[in-house]
Amino acid sequence: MVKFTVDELRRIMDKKHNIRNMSVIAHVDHGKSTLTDSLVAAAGIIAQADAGDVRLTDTRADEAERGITIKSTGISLYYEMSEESLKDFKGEKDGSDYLINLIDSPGHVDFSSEVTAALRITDGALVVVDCVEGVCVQTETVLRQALGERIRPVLTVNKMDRCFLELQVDGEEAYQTFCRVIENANVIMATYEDKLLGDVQVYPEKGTVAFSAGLHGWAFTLTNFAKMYASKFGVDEKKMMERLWGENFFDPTTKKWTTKNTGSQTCSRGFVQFVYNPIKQVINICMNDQKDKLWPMMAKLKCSLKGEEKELMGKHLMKRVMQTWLPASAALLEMMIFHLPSPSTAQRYRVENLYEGPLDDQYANAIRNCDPEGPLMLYVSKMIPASDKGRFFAFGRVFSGKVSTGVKVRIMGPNYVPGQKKDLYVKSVQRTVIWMGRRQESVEDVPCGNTVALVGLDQFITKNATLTNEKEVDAHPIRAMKFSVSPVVRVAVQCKVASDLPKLVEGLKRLAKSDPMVICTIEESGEHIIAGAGELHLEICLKDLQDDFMGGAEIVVSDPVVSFRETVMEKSHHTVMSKSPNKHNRLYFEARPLEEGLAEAIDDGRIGPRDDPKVRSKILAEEFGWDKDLAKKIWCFGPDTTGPNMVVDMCKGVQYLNEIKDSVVAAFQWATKEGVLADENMRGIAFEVCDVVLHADAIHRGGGQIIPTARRAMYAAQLTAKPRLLEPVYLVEIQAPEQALGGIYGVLNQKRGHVFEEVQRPGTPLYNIKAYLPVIESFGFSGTLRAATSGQAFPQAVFDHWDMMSNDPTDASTTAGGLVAEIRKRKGLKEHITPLSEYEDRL
Amino acid sequence: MDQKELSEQFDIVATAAFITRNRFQRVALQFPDELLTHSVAVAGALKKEIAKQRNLSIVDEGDNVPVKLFVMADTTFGSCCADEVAAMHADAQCIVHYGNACLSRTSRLPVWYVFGRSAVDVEDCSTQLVEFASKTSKPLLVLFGLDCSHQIPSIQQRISDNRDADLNITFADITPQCMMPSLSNEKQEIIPEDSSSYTDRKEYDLSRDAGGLEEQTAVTHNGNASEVSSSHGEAVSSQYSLGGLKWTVRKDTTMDDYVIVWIGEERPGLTNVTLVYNTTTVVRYDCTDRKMVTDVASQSRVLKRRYYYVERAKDANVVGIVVGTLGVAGYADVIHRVRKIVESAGKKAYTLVMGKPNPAKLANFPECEVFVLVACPQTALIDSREYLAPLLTPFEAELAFVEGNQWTGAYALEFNTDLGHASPSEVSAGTKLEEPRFSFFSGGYVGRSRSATRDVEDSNSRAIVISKAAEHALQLQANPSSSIITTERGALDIKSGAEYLAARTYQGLDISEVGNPDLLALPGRKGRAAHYKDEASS
Repeated sequence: MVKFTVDELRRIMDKKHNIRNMSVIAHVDHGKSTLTDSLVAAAGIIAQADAGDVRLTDTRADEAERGITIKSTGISLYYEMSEESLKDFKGEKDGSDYLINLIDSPGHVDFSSEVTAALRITDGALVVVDCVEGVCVQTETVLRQALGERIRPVLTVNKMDRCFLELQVDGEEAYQTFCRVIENANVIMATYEDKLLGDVQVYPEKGTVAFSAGLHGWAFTLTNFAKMYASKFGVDEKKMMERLWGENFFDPTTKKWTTKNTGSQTCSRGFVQFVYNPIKQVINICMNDQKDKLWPMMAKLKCSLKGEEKELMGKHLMKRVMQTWLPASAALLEMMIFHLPSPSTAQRYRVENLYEGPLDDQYANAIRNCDPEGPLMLYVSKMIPASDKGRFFAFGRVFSGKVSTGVKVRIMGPNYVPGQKKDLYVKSVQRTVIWMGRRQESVEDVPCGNTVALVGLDQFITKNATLTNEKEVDAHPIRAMKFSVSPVVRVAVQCKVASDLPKLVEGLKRLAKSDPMVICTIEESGEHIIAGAGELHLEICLKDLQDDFMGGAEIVVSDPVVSFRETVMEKSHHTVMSKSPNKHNRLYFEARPLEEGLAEAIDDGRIGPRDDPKVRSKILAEEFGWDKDLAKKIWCFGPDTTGPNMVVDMCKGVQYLNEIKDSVVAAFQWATKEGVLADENMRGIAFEVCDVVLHADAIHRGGGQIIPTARRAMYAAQLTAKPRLLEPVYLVEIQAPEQALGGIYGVLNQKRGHVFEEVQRPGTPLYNIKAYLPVIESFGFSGTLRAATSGQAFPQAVFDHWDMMSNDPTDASTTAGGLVAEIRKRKGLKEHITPLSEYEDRL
Repeated sequence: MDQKELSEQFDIVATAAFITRNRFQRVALQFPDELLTHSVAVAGALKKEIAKQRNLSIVDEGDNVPVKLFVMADTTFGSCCADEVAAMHADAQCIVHYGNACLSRTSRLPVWYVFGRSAVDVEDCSTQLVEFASKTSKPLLVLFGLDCSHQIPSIQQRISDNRDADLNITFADITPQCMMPSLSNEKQEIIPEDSSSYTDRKEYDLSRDAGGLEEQTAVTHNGNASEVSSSHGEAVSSQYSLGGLKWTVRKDTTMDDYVIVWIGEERPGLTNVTLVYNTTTVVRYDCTDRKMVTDVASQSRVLKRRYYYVERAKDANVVGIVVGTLGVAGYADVIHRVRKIVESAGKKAYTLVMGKPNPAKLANFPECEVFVLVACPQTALIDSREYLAPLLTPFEAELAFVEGNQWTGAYALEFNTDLGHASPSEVSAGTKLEEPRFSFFSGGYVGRSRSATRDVEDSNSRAIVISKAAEHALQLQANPSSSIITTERGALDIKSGAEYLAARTYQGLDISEVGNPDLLALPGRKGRAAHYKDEASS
């Protein structure tokens, strides 16, 4: 039964100081969804008894089946703080009831785009870490992402139950483990120093670290225990908290606190003595069904069980007792309310990250002040499929103003440029909805600081957008999200029955909308391509496509296709020349590889076409050893004017050169998009225009003559500069026990991977292995690895870099040559690479 | 080539008979480049033959005027089309077309086609056909290259002779050699075949031609079956035609129930067949290698590539309509229609007339993101890989630009193909134009270009944009050496040629100089562009 009504919820939405927007982030399988459930239980949506088993936020059948979260899901929770616990709260507040908008996000790296979308619309993050496994790859990734977005984190050390039941570690050992986990997390956070955000590290003694057992629904912070003991010791809570963590020891015989272990038998760490051991005791008593000891203890702890609950035995009894004593929701929600910022606090410093426009205009100010009377600024971070097929909710966060049913909004898409009409629509909102797991509730309006789902805009938003009021024509959009993964794995799909093509097209549109990361495109060969972050991601996408978005029409999926890049290894061994079709113009080109790291710098946007030329030439000269004058002679970047290739003018005193610049650039964009080897994009090539001989009549040196010729000359230059293929490489992190290492190395060797780091996790028998693995070899890697290590190794792969294949792709007998032949065949090109003589002309 | 061979290869007798019968006095002979070497010999032989035939026939008064023959070389457009415009320059009354033909209907002049005769091993071909037919469960439909058509009756005969098994082989009808214009204003009576002249070949053609001519006036849609009831009104069958070939299949069957056997070389004609009947299996009998070629994988690829081009065209803002024919009947209507649909889709259209398109010619119009080539079916399909922008057929343009048309796999090449589409006026009235469209190139929604009526409202703001772009370009021009071109088409949202020009770094000569009134007319340079007389020899 639901404890709160929609009206109640709506009422708190106006209290911007009493709202907390937060996401739950963690490595896969560290217990986010389970923990979220126990929080939701507190809000009364699911019965307390079921907490830990239901995974309310896993709304999809396949999520429940696989036991992993795929889509992030939002839930609004209502929590009423007791007056007593609020007495130390220093921040602004408005009454004692709180609204917590919580977003559960997936932990698998393939779905980290979902995390990105979740972080954008929240202000705080609950970082969940498995107390045994510690900080893992994905923990680190999402934590960095969160801090990049200026999201304040709090930590919970989860799966405490494993310590007590599974591992049976003693207090001191457990303390050391927890300490390490927290330290590891703090190391990452410490690298993000941010004046506005302040210290983001977490400390148990300050209450920003919780200890939880999501499965059993209990959790505590040191605050809980400090409160309990403060009166007993006659010190204030704050003092007590400090004593319960760190180098503080207590000897019950002497009743003295020391900062060193005195070495006496009875002396032990405060945390062990007052926190760990009591819990251990209660759990043991319950597990052994020693009810005679239990009841008096419960009485001491001032909690009691209800009638029938007393009949429970063993594990169930333990669960019930712990939930009553240390309810997870109370500990975690209070931690969030105390230590995570309200929208009004957070937006003050997040506005810089969020708003693209000038930071002193009325929109920036409205966001900064979280002003419900200000102009509407709303960011849609993702689209959620609605129950009626083909429609979507636009899910996002109101940063300022109010969004209400029926209001007309300006929709600024990702390509919107202020002042232009591109990617801009005006449409009215049909319905505003608040999202609560599996339920949605319609409300009249939603004020700033809250998450909201909108109905009726899905025709105009692909993945995300900024919404403002109709009349706010000067507003700039909110900055687009930056994803940490890229869609490198691609498959071609076609329908089994040719006449289903319209269904496929429609399905692909919906798929593109439903997932922040997936990209649906079409290739020159006429094949529809779906690109995703990894194998699992693609698998889910394809399933969605077929079952949900195409109404079950059958599709044929190709083997995964990996995109390559074409590059060169050396400078062209001679200057190549191509003549225009009318033979009146001659272009002389050379190709050379870009300096190491330059392509990456262009990728990262450190160097780009829109830079200040002075800054650009400074970076190029200082970091890459370019001549200062040369840096001014870059004609353009490509493909798509931003890619990691460039044309550089090396000519001296040539007539009419300015006239053909546009044509050469057009040819360059074209050539870098479709390289000479296999029609793949080029990467890391600088084309140097060495000389041009042009006809004296303008009519004979027009685009028609220059564009095809420049393209041919560039191809010739590429072919004479030792062309090479670049293949994408994953960074794979594997966590496994020692005995599985042999199997892992075996599989990696077989798949052309190589390990570059192997570290044992301190205090655990687990090893952390980092390796590079070519994407093309990664298909079925998880499966093979699982088989070779009897399921003990779990890999996480993220695209890391492009790696040059050392052998010559123009020689068909090499690996690279074979790949080229394969790609060419797939694309319907001639089997062999066009020979140099086709592109190069003789005088 | 001796006289006899020449006469046979170029069908001199029948051609002469056609000319004398219709009393043509000015006749244009159109040769493709590869046959041009024979043109003089052919013209000579033809002249002789006409004189001979005239002497035989009853002499009318008008017949005394000698027939004038014109040889036309280097056709403006594809060599498969009869070049009416060139023929009309010579004031010709009819065209004799040699070599491979697309048999597109002409609008003004009658055409007599001479396809040439490729060597076909009748014996081997029919044996292989029978063999193949016995292996295949589906009935066979035999289509052929026009240069093989002279042997088709013999093959047909041979198969029906030794028909031991009950083979189900349908042959396409032999194409008539004579083509009537669709717009013959003067109802001049043209006698396609003289019933009195009697050769084994003409005997076959005779009955067909009579029917063939009638059908030319009836509308027979490409790829669409039109029901033709025989005179008895009993057996009902569906008739198909493509690239000059016509054939009938039983009413209860569709093309999917057949296997197409193509006799002849890989020509555009074959590509067209595989495109239009893309769900039907196609095998080819190779006349030179004398074997069945069953690999048709490349054909489905062609279709997919066309699909890609259609998708790309949907994203284009500026469309170039390339007029690649002035002869094929209905071309003007098609150009008009394409213009209309392009404009109602909110895009800008430019019409360009040019001879055979090639990459260099079309690259002179980099502002066009896609071209629609209005040409005969055999030249319209161009693999655009070497082109800066893809070339579409008018049919594909319909798919790309008309709202609601979907690619279903059905494909057509010839003009006048009814798509069942909404008329352009209905299209522009559609309110859906406001909604964004999903683009497979950006992987997301893109704004639809606004409809024509909106353009007016927008014109002010657009003008500002253009002037801003021009300003920007001028600034760039001031210091061209240090500027980096960032003019990505997509980013600038270029909607017309003028905007494209404004975005270029180099925009041609400075206009202010042109305004100088004191310039005198001076003699220009002399010579060829490769080396003007005043240039130093290099």
